[in-house]
Amino acid sequence: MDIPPPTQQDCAQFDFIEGLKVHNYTKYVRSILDDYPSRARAYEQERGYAPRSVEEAGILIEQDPLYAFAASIAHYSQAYMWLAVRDSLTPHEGMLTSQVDELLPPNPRGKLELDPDLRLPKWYTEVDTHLQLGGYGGDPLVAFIYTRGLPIFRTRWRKQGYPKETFLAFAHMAPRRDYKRILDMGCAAGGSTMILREAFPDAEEVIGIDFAEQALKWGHIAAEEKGFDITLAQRDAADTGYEDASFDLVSSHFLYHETPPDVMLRSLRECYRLLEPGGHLLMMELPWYHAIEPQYGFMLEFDTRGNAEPFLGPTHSMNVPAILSDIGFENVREGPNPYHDETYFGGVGLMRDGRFHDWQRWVTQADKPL
Amino acid sequence: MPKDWTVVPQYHGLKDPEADKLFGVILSLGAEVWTLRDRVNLLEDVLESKGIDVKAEIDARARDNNRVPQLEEERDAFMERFLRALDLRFRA
Repeated sequence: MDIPPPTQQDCAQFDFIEGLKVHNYTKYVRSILDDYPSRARAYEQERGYAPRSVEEAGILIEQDPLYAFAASIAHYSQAYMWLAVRDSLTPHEGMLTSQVDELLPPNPRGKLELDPDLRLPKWYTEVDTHLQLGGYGGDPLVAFIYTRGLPIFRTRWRKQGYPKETFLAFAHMAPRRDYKRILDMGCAAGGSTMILREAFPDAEEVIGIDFAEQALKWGHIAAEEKGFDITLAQRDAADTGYEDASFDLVSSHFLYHETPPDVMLRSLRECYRLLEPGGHLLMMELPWYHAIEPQYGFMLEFDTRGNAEPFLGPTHSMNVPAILSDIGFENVREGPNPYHDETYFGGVGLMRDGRFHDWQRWVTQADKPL
Repeated sequence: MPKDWTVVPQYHGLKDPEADKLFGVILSLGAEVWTLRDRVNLLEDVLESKGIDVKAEIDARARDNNRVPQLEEERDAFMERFLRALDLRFRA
């Protein structure tokens, strides 16, 4: 399924916005972070201790005269990115929306399970996540918007391609190869679900769940075109409706920074309920703040305010490994996905410095006791 | 449209919201300038591929002082329009 090609106007806007992002990352954000140690040393000399928290680091970073402009560029370049992408698709809106339903395969290998009665929570429908107006559930073109917009966000829109090696490396961090039933929480258009299918070709069923109907439809079409036998279902990751102990691997991929903390807690408990004894939890996220130096935490925290990610700070300042232990998981461990992936251009937050840090894709794992 | 596109999540990088909006306008202007520049470059490339080399002639005409009167007239008119906001006088 092809999206009508962008015009010169569209291409030039994408180029400009991508260039603006690259310039911000490699000049301003990098300069702010490079200057931070000297600010921190002065702070330590004055107070007798180095900045320990995201908030303390933030006070120093906001003193940097470049910070306000870097923040403004980060915000506008993101907002303009989605608007430029939407502008490029709007002339084709009727064709694209009707094409999705026409392209749903009559005899698919995998399954698409939509639930018209599923109530979408307000926290989901009212947040314009990533500044994409309408959010995942509110724009009928959301799947096309992300298909076209994510490569700009990754600062490689003319190169396209899905950087799947990072995600395959993540999937292969799971301790076993012989999983039978795999659940992918918050799969959006199923990109991560397809990679789990690729990583575990012998699994009996690989299921991705999400709220976003349009993304699931698009993902189903894409999976069928690529020959991936997966199920995409419209379900709530905090209340899936699946039976107890019905999966041996539950995975999530950059999900919980987009959920309110109480929803994250309910979903993690749901993961525990869904896993069979001895089953594994595998999650990749932005790093929890306790895992990184506070100046990087503050830069990540920017997205909470400047990228319409209101739950990023509240979830990532929690001690999720300790929460998993409290739920009953054992052998809780966390660490970086070490795959050196330049395609993300140094991370996924808006205030990235264009350098690869292995903690940018942080993997937390836990086992359900036998 | 799913939503009113003028309503975006509020955030101001610059401390003064008005200055931040002005900065956003400047970034938009940059995008438009780039778009036009890219289009002119492409136009020259298309013409060249059709056997019409306009680049050298454009550069030569740009250096041609015979065009100074017209150039200055157009440039001054542009400045009038461009800086119109500074020239506005408001009634008491």
